[in-house]
Amino acid sequence: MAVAHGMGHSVKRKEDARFIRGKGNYIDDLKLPGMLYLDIVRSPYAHAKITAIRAEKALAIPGVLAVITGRDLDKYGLAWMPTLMSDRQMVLPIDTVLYQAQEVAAVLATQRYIAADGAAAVEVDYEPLPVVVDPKKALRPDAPVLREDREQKTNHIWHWEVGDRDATARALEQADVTVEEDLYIPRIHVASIETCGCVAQWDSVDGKLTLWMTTQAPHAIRTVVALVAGHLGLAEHKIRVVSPDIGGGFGGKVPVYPGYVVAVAASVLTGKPVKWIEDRMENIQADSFARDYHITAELGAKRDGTLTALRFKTIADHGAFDAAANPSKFPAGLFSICTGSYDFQSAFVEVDGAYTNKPPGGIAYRCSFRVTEASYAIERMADIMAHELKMDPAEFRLKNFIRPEAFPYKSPLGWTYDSGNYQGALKKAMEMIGYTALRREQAEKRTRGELMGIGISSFTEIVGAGPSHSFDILGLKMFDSAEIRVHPTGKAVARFGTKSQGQGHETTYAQVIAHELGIPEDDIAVEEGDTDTAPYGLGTYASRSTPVAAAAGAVAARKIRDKARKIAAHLLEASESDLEWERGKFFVKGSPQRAKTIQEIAFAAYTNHPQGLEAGLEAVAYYDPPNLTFPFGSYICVVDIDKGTGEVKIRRFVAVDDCGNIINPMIVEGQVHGGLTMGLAPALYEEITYDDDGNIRGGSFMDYLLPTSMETPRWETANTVTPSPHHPLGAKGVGESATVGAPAAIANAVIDAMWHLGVRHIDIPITPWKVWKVLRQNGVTE
Amino acid sequence: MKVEGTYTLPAPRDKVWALLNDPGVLARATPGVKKLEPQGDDMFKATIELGIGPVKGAYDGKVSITDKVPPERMTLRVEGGGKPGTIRATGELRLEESEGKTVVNYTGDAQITGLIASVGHRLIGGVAKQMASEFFKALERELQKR
Repeated sequence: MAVAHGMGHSVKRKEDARFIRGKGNYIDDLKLPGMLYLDIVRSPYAHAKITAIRAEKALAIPGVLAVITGRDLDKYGLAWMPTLMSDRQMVLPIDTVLYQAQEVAAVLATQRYIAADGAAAVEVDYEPLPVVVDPKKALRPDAPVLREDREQKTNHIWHWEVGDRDATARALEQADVTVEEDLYIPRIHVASIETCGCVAQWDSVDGKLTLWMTTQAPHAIRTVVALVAGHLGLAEHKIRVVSPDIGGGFGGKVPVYPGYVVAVAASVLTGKPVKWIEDRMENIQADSFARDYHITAELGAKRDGTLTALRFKTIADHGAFDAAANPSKFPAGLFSICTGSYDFQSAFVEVDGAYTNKPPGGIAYRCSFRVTEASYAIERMADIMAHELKMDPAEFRLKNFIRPEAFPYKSPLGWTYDSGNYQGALKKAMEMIGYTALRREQAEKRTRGELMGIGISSFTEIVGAGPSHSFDILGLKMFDSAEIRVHPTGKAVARFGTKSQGQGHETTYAQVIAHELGIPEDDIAVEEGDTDTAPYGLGTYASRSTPVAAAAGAVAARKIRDKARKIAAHLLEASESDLEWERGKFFVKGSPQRAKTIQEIAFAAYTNHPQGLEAGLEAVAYYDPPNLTFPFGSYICVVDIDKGTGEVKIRRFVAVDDCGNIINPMIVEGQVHGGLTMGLAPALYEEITYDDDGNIRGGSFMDYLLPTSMETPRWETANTVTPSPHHPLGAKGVGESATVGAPAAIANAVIDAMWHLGVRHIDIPITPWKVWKVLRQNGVTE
Repeated sequence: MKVEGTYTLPAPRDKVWALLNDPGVLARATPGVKKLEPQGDDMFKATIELGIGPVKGAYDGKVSITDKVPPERMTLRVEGGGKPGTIRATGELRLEESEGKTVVNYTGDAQITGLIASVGHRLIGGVAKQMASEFFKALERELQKR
């Protein structure tokens, strides 16, 4: 018989039954009768004027139906579209391209391969223009202005700052010890296993658009389509966005890409369904990138090791359009979490956004809106300061952590941390890895000239956007929602405003409801991603599903329980106040045999409901979180460096995470494993660079190195539990903690191995070539 | 992308200069050139077939010779485009005579876009060097023919 497990159980993932059988339903699995296919012509130049687009040869290919250009879209006011960050972005260019691989024209054909042949046959004449790839050069007064369409004739997009500039400057002046370092966090790409795509179907009889689309935020997309194309007669009640199974999102499937817009326009124009699916290189070369932060970081401390001041100055390279996917009021995301786990008296952070001839973006690649950038910077700097002070990095952290009794803790950059026990997590990690013995081993090896390093990262995350007073996307407040309907036989369907891309919502949300109502997980169907059925929500990214949508699920379940109590009182002929709840049933105080199960109550809700009470058993909750949640953790990495080749070998990696109360330990472990691997990636392998002409280097899997199982070490994971005081379940998000925390642990371990040689910093990715060069510069030859 | 180097040809400077100004020789000696049609004024229409790593394709473009100072130096300009991308290159050749032989110093700068640049970038430098060396070896063969 089905059992209600509830929270804290490693319930097997319901969705895996179809995934491991190859029965998932991804966007490219969708095939509709009469469907047409779209392919895109892309620019070989990073900056050029388009002088002519000739479609004749493409149109001569049998099966090619149309070649769509920016001038065609402009007739309908669709050549440009708004970004999420008060900027605008070309759908297709009218006369200028601003980055290599930018969309130039689209070809509509009866077959996928004919569309590709058509795209190859379109002839485009370009007149190359000067290229700017370095954001620092872009901000110089003599730099060519890239965005001629803007009123402001500069490549500077915005300036953002928070904290006390003057007090921080004074504190740094008065500090006994200061350290300063330039840290570059390179441009990387989510490289999800499934690329982006959509099928747009315009029903010309009903005037209804159905858009199946790889999106992490289907409801917001529906509203955006209604706002952008309202003038063409697309009204929100006649737009249905369906997000099917998604093969990884990681933030890359939040934005709207030009291909989606062209597919919709093509379907409306032809009255036929139109499919657009990116290939791998289009995905890496043109879709939104992440990171690309140039940080100058300073810390001040007293001689005894007490941290006093933090100042970060950052240039953010946003490419040709500011198409980041941050909450509207946060152009640099939640980067101001950069004081991390430490108690600073004063802090100041400023960020300037710049345009360059690169693809747009600044999306949150599993980083909770720029928290990876913040966490990497503070954790690298904490290690540099500890070494500068000749203190053990663990001891230094334990000395400077915010104390457990200081929560809720107000940070100097304005956040109120909900709960934490940073000492507990670090001490557990140190115990697991055998920290003292490792330091002894390191000292011995050093006498023999061997290079071994130990790196710590004690990160604080900030997730669960977010409270409506501060958080919105295009004005839409960042609540999320749940709707639960309990059927007469005690089974239930629950719909949410989020959308799983592998997080396991069908399982964890069912566990939350099982926990609150005692209905077995197997009896609860969880649905997401169809805007015609699910309640409105802002979607899944930035680790917000558990903090916001699972909270909505708990609140909706409690509303149902309140109504169930009234029905139970009616059935048991007792007063409501005489009833007690035990998971799955109400019973009369003192006589536990007089009880009604939730299933009996559900049946009565439709067959025998009390007078004065509405029939049925369902509830909706829109949850506006009172605060964000602040998960944290301590990671320790041990590396050995091959002096001959410069290769970094990760010997051990211990990760202790604290995400409050845990819904499903197995899923949390899986999230942490995946996150650690995605944290290893930029630390040692991944980077997209550009040459001076704006050519992408790293635009295919030949050059963009994803770690495989061969590169990935064995992850050793554990948890501590410090519940969130404001979340209905005491839970916090966890999906991105490991991606946020891991890179600094690895980088710190590498530098720890070489600090005694005079090495202070190497920018990630720490490739063998970089290490080899640094070793030789510092006199190590073998 | 920049390339430079020297190559010594076993002939006096005047002879090498004449060779470099013969379109037939250029067409035969330049790797990948399938067609070179003189358009007058040292301008040529060219069809080139090239493979860099996995990126193979044909390019249509123009070649021009400018800044001629016989028999000391000349500048070659190549502009072309095809499905795999575009190329704009300039190369300067300086000829010095030494003991009856000619030392050719060449420096070149190329701007490359598209698939050849993004996929083939690790190979371009090597390919360019190899092409230069093939070009001069072919010139040497032409010298022997004369």
